[in-house]
Amino acid sequence: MSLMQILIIVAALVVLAEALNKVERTNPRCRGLSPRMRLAEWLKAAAWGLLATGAALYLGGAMLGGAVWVGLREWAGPLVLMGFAILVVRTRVKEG
Amino acid sequence: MPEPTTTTAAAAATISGAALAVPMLTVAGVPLGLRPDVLVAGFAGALVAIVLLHSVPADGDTWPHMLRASVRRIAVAFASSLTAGYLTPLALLMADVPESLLLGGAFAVGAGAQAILRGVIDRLRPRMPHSDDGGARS
Repeated sequence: MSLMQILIIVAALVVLAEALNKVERTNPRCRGLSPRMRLAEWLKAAAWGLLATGAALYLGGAMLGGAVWVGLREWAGPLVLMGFAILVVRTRVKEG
Repeated sequence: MPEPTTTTAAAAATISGAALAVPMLTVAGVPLGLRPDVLVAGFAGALVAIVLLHSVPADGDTWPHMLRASVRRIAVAFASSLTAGYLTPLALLMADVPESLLLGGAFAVGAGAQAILRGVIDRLRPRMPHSDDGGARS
């Protein structure tokens, strides 16, 4: 395993841990939220959920290896990109 | 009149056929009997449980608390995926559900894995009446 692979695995682990933290802190069903803030909360949950899934797919592929994970690992990049795109949209929605 | 076991047998055949169609996970040449798509569905279910049910709440804002909560969340997501991977085919057989609902079932099992496992453990080993929480801290 090369140094770059180890760095990417550590990065995926950090992203997974932080994404799960952020996901847990979202509360889209909270009472008293305006529709825009509620939408922002849902977008936050979706974005960090996608980031967590992408990081978990990469970690699974890196740890277990094998042909089965190669196809799934290809989804890690697009999932992380989609997560960041939704985070950007969420910021815009929140700022109004 | 059809035999009562016909549908269950057909479901079992369908599920076992599907298991053959999708490659199983192997580690060091040892087949684990897990399908990656079912694991991913279980992971997504665990995420939804964390968002909507707050299944793994934080217990503080300091660094050690955050680190412990992060490890716990990763462990819960991992365990929920494993539970979905191993229990969903069994649950589908018991509920006599078609194979097309395998991933949906895996999502549901992943979301409820904590409650399912706790229920099974409580049924197998009922909590002792004299202990505070029965040793199972939630």
